[in-house]
Amino acid sequence: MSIAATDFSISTSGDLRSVAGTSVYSVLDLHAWLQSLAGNPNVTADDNVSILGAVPSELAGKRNTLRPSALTLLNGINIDDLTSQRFNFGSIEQGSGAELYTGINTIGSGLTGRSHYVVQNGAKYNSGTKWWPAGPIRALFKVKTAGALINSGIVTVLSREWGYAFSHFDVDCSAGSEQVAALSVSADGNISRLVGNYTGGANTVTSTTPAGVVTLNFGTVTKTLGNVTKQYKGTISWTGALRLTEVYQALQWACHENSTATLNGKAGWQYRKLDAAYNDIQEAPFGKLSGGKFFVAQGWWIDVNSLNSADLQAYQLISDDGTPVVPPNVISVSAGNLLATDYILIGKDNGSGGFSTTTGITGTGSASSTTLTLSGAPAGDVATGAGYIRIANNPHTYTGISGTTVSGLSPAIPSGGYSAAAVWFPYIDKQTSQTSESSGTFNYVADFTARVRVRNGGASPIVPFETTFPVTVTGGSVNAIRNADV
Amino acid sequence: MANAVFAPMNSSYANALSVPSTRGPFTVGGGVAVSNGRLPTDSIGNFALTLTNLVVGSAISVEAYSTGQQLFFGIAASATQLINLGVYQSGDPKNDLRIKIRQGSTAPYYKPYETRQMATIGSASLYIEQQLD
Repeated sequence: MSIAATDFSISTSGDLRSVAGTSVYSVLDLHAWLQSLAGNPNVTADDNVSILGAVPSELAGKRNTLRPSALTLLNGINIDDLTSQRFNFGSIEQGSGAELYTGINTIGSGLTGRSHYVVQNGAKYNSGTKWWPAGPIRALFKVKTAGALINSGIVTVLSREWGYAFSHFDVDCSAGSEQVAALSVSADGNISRLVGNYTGGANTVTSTTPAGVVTLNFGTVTKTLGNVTKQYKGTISWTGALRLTEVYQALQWACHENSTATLNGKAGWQYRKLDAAYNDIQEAPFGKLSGGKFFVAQGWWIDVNSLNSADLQAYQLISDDGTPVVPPNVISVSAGNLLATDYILIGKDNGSGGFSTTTGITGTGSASSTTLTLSGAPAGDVATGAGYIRIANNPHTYTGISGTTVSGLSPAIPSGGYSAAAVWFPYIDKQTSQTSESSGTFNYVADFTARVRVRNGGASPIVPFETTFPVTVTGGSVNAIRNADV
Repeated sequence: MANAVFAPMNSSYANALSVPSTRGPFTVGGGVAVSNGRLPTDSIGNFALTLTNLVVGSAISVEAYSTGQQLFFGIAASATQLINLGVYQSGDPKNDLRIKIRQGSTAPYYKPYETRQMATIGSASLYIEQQLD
C-alpha cells in the first residue's frame, strides 16, 4: 500500500512523524516512499527529502513484498515510538544502529480475536495501551535505544484473556527484521465465573461467589504429604472451603491480562512461575485443572486445612525438587454386627495369632498430661487425626499426632507418668454403644492383615469373636459373628 | 550596485554600452572598449559529461561535492545522457562533482547510485551501474 504523503512529515532535521491518518503501512512501504521522495528535484510540502539530500533509507536485500523488510534509516532520518505504530512487517533501525524497532508476528492456533499484550522489562509495552487490534498481531516494538538492547532484546508476547487458556512466548528481537511469537489459545472449559467475580490484592484474590479468599504465601516450607516430606517454595491457602475448581479460577484470575492482584510484589499479569528454574505452565501458571484434578504447579504447597472435604485427593503437587507428590489414599477399617457394651479391638495382625504391638516406639509423658512424646514418628498408616493408642498397654484415645507429639490423650496420663513406655496404635479400641464402629481415617501405605476381637461378657454374653480380615487400598471391614455364650 | 557606463569618444558610437558591474575590469584600446573581463568565479571552459547505461526515468542530480550546490537536474530520457557543465578555476568547489542517480518512484526500483567526478575542460564518460532495490 502506497503511503499517503499527508500521513507523515519529515522535518529538515530528518524527524519523520505521523501527522495524520491511522493506516498501518509495511516497512517496505516506508522505504518505497522515502526512495520516491529521494528522486524528487526538490522537497515537497512538509516532506524534506529530495535528490538534493542524502539517501534516506537502505534496505537489507532486495524489495520483496512477501517477506519482512529490514530497513535502516540513514542520514538523520528517524521515527519516534508513536510513528513506529504506523508500520509493521519488518524492522526499522536508525541513528547509526543506536535504535531498533523490531517486528513481531504472532502465529498459532486460536489467536483470531484474542487479546494479546506485550511485556518488556517487567512492564506492559506502551504502558498497556495497545494500538494493534485483537490477535493475531503484527507490529513493531522498540528493542534497542541509545545503543543498548532493552532487556537483551527479549520481549514477551502474552495472551491471557479471561475464559481462555493462557499462552506466552519470549521473542528475541535483537536481530531485527520480524520475529515470530508462537502462541496457542483455546477456550478454557474450567472457567465458569465472570471476570468481575474477583478482586485482587497483595497476594490475594477474593471471590464473591462462592465467597472466599485465596491467599498466596511466598516462602520456603517443608511439608509432608502421604509420607513424602519435601520442600516447597510457596503455599496456597483459602477460606470458605472453596472447591479446587473455584480455587483454580481465582488463581487464573490472579494472572490474567487485567489482573489487579500483585504476586510477590509484581503485577499478576506477568506471573509465570514460582522459581526461574521451573518449567512454565503456559495455560495456567498455577497449575492445570484436568479431569476434576488440580495439577498444581511446581513448588506450590496446598494448605490441606483449606481443602474442601470433597477434594481431599483431587490434586497433585510437585515439590521444589521436581518430585510429584500425591495426597495419600485415606482409608479406614470398620466392624459391624455389634451391640452396645461390646468391646471391640482392631489392630494389625502379628501373623501368629495376636496383635502386632511391637512398634519400636516408646512414649514419655508426665502424669495428668494429655500430651505424649514419642521416641519416633509413628508408621505412615497410623491415624494422625483422632485415634487410639495403647501406652504401656493402657488404652487411650488422642485427638491428633504431629511428628512425635501425641496430643489430646484421654484419659490423661495416669499417676507416675510414662517413661519410655511401649506404645502401639490400634485402629479401634473401645467399648461401643453402637451396632458398628469405624476407625479414624489413616493413610493407605500397603495392604495388611487386621485382627478383630469382639467380646461381651455382660448381659448378652457372646462367645468371644476373633478373626482376621484384609485391609486394602479401599480399607477393610468385618462383621462380628455373635454366638451366644450360654 | 550601478552598472559601469562607458562613454564613447567616437561619435560613431551613438549609444553608451552598459556593462554589468559584476564583470571584471574591461580593457580599453585606443579609447574604445573592446572586451569584458572575467570574474574569478566565471567558468574557464566546458566539461561535457556523458552518463551511460542509465535506467530510463532515473532522476539525475549533479552537485558540487562540498557545498551541495545543484549544477544540473534532469530525468534520464534514454540510457545515455549528455550533461554540459562549466569548468572553473582550480580550487573552485564546482569542479568537484557529486553525481546522484535515483530511481525509486516507479518499478522496477533501483538503489540510489552515487559517484564523484572532477570537471576538467573537455569531456568524460561515466558508466552507471544501478542495482535493483
